[in-house]
Amino acid sequence: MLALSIFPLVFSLGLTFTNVNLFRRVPLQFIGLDNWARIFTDEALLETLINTIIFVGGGVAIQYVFGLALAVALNRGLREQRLMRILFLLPMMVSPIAVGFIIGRMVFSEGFGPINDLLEAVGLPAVAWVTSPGMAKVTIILVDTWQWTPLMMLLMLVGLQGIPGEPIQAARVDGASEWQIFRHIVFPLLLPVSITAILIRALEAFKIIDIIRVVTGGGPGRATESVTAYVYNVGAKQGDLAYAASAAYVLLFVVIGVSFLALYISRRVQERYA
Amino acid sequence: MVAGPAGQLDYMKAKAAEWAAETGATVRVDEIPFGELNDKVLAALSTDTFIADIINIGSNLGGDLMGGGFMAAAPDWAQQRADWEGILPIFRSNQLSFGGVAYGMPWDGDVLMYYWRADAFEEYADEYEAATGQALGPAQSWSEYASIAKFFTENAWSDQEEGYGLVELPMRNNQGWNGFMTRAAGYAKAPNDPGFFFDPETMEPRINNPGFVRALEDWGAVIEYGPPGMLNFGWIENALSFVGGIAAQDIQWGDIGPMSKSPDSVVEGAVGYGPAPGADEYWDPVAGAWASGDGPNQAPFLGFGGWFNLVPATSNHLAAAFDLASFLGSPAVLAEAAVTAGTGVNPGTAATLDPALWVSAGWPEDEAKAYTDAIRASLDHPNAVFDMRLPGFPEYKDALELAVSEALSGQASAQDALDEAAETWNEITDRLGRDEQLRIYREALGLTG
Repeated sequence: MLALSIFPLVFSLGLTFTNVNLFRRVPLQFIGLDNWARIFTDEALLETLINTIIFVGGGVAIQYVFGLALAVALNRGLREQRLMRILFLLPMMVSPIAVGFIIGRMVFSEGFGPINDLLEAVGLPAVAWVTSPGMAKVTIILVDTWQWTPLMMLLMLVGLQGIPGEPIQAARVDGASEWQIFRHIVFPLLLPVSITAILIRALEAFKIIDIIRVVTGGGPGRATESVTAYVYNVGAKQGDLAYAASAAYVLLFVVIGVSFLALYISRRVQERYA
Repeated sequence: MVAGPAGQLDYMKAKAAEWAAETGATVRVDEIPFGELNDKVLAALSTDTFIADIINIGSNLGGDLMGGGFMAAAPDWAQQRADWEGILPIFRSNQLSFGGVAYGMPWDGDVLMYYWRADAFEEYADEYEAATGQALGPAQSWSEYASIAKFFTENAWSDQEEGYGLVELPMRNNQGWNGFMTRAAGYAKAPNDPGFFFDPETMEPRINNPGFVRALEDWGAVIEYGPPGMLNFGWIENALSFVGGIAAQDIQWGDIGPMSKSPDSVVEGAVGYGPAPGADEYWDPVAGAWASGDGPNQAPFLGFGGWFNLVPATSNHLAAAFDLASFLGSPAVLAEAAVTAGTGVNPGTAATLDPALWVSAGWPEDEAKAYTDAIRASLDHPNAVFDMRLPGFPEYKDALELAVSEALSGQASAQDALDEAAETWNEITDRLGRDEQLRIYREALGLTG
């Protein structure tokens, strides 16, 4: 545990107080809080942090809704359930780079992609999926959603199958509608699993980089650059490991903050439904 | 051995296997995706981590690799095998050598060129003249290029499902640097001044001077004549658009020639070849004013500068590595590679620029001559600009591509975006050492003192 987890953390924290640069053979120096001070004036980091929050907030919310809907449908005995489960899980098994290329670069291609063809076929204007700063963010969210909704579905399905049948049957006997059963029994009972699933997916989504690099390269401008992509650029392209580590810690703090927030919300919601 | 894009990797693997069969040696050729190649190579060498005995890399990382002292000098016998004197001087000195020492073995010679659909130009000549009052011919200037692009997108091919006036290379973190510099060179490379990226006296960036700014503004104005989504086009989208027949004009490397003959091409025999257009006026940084000459100011851009092979000084198999690298760079291999589509090898030697080679590969004589003449005219041009190969190139490139992308997508004006990029360039230069960067830059320009 110490070697695998704590040491790298402490080591990278130590880096943030130095001038270590991979490509510049300069003598190692302790520079105090310089890197941390730079964070507060780094507009690029702020922009990429906002982008990341948009990707996580938008993407995970959509994935949760779709994942839950699919899980409910499958749990109700959708025809060809086994085949459907396999089909739904396929996107998750493909590498994000391939997903980025196939979905992001090909399907959402503004010139020869089928989505714009479809829109034009029904009389709607083509959409600048990857070249408009706003739509490019939406495209990243959609590609991420295509890949990771199955994970959400899987977790929700496990949650649904763990719900005891008695309260639902009792509610049916009492004349409750399906919506009422879902709203007042199934959904509250699913909350612990839901919060866990959202948290797991959000923690992963905060690190998004692969899809972005393939689909937009972070552009147009910096419109789709995530913090991880920014940290990669600073660390790997500029060799500035010390500042890259500092920026990575910012992401870590945000993730920790979001985790605590999620747990707090989880407790409050469960208290409400208890 | 490590190499870049898949196409040339496959060819290189086949040739490396030939060499292995001849010598009894064992060789493995691994791919590093193009977008990660520079980062991985630099990171490995900087941390004294073994990456390969031969590194196939683009010349603009030469400053970091050769200048950084990571590479072994090429022995005389390897230079002889690679027919050193047959390599064009611009590549011998700017690509394969650094500080007067030869390190690299040849593979690819690169210059961004202008392609047009000769068949369509002939078909629509009268219509174009009626619409614009000008004769329709290959664009000599970027303004003519824009006019032709507008005509094809809005008139000639407007009834086609897919038909556009141009296709270029604007994508950030892809080929945006090369796409922009090819255009900017005509606007900002003064024939009377060797400097382009920087002031060669002060190392002050020039990328936000009026020449570069106008180049970016003019580029932004013609993007609409390209295929939808072109801001996200890299090498492959660009090439496939042109050989797929949907663009009337293209700015690309020499690969379009062999690709136009490939089975997927619909433009075989219908392609015109020429140097990239020039600008009607250019910014003279010495006079601080716009200037013009007898015709458009042409400044062919040797973007990327070509793939070449380097052997790390830490290789445990120096002799074998140079044996393979010089075999790959030998005239026979390069001749075969140059005329084969998808190898990534563009002509950069006297032998590969001989029209007879292309005729022997099945090209019509006049087309072979037109193609090689166009490349020659670009490479031999007195105002040609060789790509940057300063230490820190990836950082300079990132900052510039970000600015270009912001301006082209309307997030910032050309001036604001380039001002910001220039500020970042100054920070990079200061961090790396202005005096040392200046020394290397001046050396690359052939300036002394």
